[in-house]
Amino acid sequence: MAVIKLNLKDLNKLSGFEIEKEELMQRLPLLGCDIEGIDGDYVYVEFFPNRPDLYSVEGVARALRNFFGFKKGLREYKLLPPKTYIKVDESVEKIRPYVVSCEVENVRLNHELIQELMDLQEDLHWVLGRDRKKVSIGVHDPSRVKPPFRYTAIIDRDIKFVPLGMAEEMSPVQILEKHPKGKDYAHIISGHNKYPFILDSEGNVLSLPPVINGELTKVSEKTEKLFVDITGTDFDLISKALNILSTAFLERGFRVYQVEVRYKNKTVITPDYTPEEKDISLDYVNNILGLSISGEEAVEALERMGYGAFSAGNSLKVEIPAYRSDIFHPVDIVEDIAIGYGYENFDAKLPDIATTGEEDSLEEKCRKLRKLLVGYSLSEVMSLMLSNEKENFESMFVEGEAVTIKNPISEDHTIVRTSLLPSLLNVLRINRHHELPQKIFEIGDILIPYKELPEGAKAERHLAIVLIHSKAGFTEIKSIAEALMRDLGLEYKVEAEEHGSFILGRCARIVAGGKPAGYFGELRPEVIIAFDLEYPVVAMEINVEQI
Amino acid sequence: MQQEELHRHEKLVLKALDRLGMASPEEIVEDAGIEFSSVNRAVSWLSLKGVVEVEDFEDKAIELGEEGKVYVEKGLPERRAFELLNKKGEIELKELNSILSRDEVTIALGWLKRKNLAVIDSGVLKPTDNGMKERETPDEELLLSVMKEGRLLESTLNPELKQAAELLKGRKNVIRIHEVSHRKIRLTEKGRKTIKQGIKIEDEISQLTPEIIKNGTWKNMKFRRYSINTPAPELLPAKLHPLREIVEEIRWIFLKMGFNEISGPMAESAFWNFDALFVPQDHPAREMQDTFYLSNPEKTEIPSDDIVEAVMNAHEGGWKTGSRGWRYKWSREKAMASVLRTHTTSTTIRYLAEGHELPVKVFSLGRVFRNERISFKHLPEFHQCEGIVAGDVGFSHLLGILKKFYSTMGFSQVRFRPAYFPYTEPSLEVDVFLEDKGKWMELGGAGIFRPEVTEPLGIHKPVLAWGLGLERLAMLRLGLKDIRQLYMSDLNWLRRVKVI
Repeated sequence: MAVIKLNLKDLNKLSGFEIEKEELMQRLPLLGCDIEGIDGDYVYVEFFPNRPDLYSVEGVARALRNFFGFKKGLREYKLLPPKTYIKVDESVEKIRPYVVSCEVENVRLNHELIQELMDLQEDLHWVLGRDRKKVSIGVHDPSRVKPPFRYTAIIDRDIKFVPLGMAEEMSPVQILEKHPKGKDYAHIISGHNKYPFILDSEGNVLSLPPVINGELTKVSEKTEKLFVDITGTDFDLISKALNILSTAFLERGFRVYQVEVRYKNKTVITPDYTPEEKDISLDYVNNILGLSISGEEAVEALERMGYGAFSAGNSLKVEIPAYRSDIFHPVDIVEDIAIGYGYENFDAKLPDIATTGEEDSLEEKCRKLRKLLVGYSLSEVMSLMLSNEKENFESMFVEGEAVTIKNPISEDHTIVRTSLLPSLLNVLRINRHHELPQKIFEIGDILIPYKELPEGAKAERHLAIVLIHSKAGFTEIKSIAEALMRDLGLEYKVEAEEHGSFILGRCARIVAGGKPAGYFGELRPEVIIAFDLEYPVVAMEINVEQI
Repeated sequence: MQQEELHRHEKLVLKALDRLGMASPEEIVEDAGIEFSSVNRAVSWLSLKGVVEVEDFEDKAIELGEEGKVYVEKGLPERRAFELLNKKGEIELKELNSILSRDEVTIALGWLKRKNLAVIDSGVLKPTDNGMKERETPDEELLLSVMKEGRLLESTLNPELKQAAELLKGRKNVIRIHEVSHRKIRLTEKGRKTIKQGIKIEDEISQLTPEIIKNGTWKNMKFRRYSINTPAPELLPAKLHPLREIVEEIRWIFLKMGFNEISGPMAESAFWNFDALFVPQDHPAREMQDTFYLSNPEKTEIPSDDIVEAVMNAHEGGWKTGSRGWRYKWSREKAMASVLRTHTTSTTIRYLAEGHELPVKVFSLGRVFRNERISFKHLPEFHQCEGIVAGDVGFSHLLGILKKFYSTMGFSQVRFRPAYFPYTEPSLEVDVFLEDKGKWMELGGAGIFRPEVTEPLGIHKPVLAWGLGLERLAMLRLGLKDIRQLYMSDLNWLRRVKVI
């Protein structure tokens, strides 16, 4: 998620009123964010991915102005009519079909503002653009290029330019192979024999979207005008990105000129701040929120969130600010009413639904089993289900198939355990320098691949016990197994079992109610050694669902 | 110190010390007439009570070596040689071979010279004046006393014998010296006072035995008073795991609040884990760096039914929900991918899809998995619990339930902040106030499921949902800084951890 560095002085200047730092720290989270840290005049704030319009100090200033009630309602911005155009060539249709644009004048930049602008671009690339796939932004100093502009696709051998951060001309293929940004984003546009370009009227390259801009239009502290291109795969989304970016410029007092974008069949003028209108019913709002607020209160709450709003009877007419990209459904407006109303102002009440709670039967059984086992002087341990082939199979001298992770993050966790015993032996390994005897148990889940289920795997709830001390032997674990069967009131039989982890002739199968439930016995020295242990270990594992 | 608080053996030891002054346990054994182990036990109790002081000394014990034992019996080689010399006045060297072995001859000649007992003059051995005077050298005296005593402590030797010990140390296998520690016990001021008050030794009952009960001797005997402040051995019983205690506490709270417990698969389809929750297929949470995908099983089966189709339509264009949707081409293939569930919400969603009659109040508690590198803050698997209420309920009820839920857990001050989750709207985060730390801490998320989530499942009323991670709560309760400790199962910790 995006962490924004807010310059408090700048924030106050932009919002046009003074907010005390303490008050800001207290109220800002009620707008929807986490404060990550404070450093002098800077506050680091994490805004949520649904609100990219708050990813700039300008956007935050606008929101606070409303939220604190200094100037409520829909913000009117003055856009100046187009002075130039971009012609969109059909060749980009299959590669990256859409572009929107604006020109900015009266620009005053410094080092910090340039950094903030770059941060905003990157956050928008990430959150709206899904790492530039859907949206990518080019911000240029147009003083060395000549309008109007073209958005077109060109084959490799026909074009060369100096990309940002390089000294020499490169072709698009060279950039995608050698330039760090080229390597990062090649996957978005490769697979075509042509590459998308924004060019000026003389064929100079402004950018190779979504990869990199040209060195020619690099923005510096001396820059007085800006030219913005935003390309992508979703026209609405790039329009939102342009609205977020261009209203930030307007908040700072820059002048924004629209640009004509000439597609083959239609011309659009961007940016366009016409608010989307929605009618929602007050009942709907009150129903979801569990409130009974009036139309006026709803309008007040909406205006605190920057909406235009009018109430008539049970109906609310809502104008959604053009920079909001997250309003999918009327319920999103309802949430903003809740935030504008203030979560702290809700009357928290319990619903009028009388029910009785019932335990899951397996959980109930396990709860009772744990009580028994602690009574047998066994300590409960809890371990991770993630395991690896070596621990789960090789060290146990057994073979099998496990639920396997496609993208493991470490060698220790490549599969999900198929048995609890390795987990418990691992606990003994961790405790090998501690006092003996050690007598532990775990009741936990294992997973096994199982094609008969739609999920392709099935969980089993197992119970396992291990005992380690110099005289640990078959009789001791048999006593525990039998005590358990008796305490559960089960008819059981003990039969000879052969199991790779146990000494031959010292392993038994428990058959409870006619079904095999598990096994117990003395572990083979090879297993004991594999877990770095030096004392005899006896063990038992049973399937809880079979007893 | 009341003498009733003293064991009979303790009294005997005190009396012995009164007579002996500073003494070793061995001396006390002899004086008090009780066994060595009884003396030791009595001394350690007396020392705990501050009645005696124990000092341990490092010392060296001298014992006879293999050669030493032979020499004590036959005499040192040089002594044997000198005896012969003494008898004959003077002898030729080769005459020594009749009474000494070849090795012993060499040893004897060396030491006769070194001790200034005899000299060799052109192959003839003659006694010196000194040799004629000496009857027994200090080393011989030392060997004899070691033989008599079994062993001697170096600290008890006079300077002459100490020097002799040094000499003998240089000879092969004659004596063995090893480090020993020995102790001396003496009375403290408190001890002397106790004795002054008078110690009466009488038969008293310490351990009450079945015999004493049966034969009635207890009627005429005194019970020794125990010193109740003496430390008892630490008892480390078996327990439930502290994280289990928290799991059970949370389950109990849900059950008390009238919620039914449900469970669901841990190896799950991306469909139930993400798609049914309106998480778009290109959402970062679905990427490999956040979610564990499985290669076995690689694919799940998802039904070809109305629900899947409605979910697809909700993603693509909002379906009948009034949403604009995510507007992309939904892939059934991606929804069939097999993952380890990243939250328990997959279980509650499955339950909602089963079409239960409203109102519904259920909860689920279980393990969830995230592709996180292990650190003091993160584990790739942890416990999550989640509750839902579906019916004629709204946001203010969600806040009411949360207040109740968290106050039952012991957090009296709770506050709510706006938050974002892809599948709830409105959403919130719960902060609880930590009285002891004087600060707020985030402890869970909540919200109302989006219509794009509930409508495809055929639910047309609000569904309130909230959840929290248990490990964070456990760390808070147990004062842990490192989440890994919960799954290390260090028995020293588990045996001593307080039960909350």
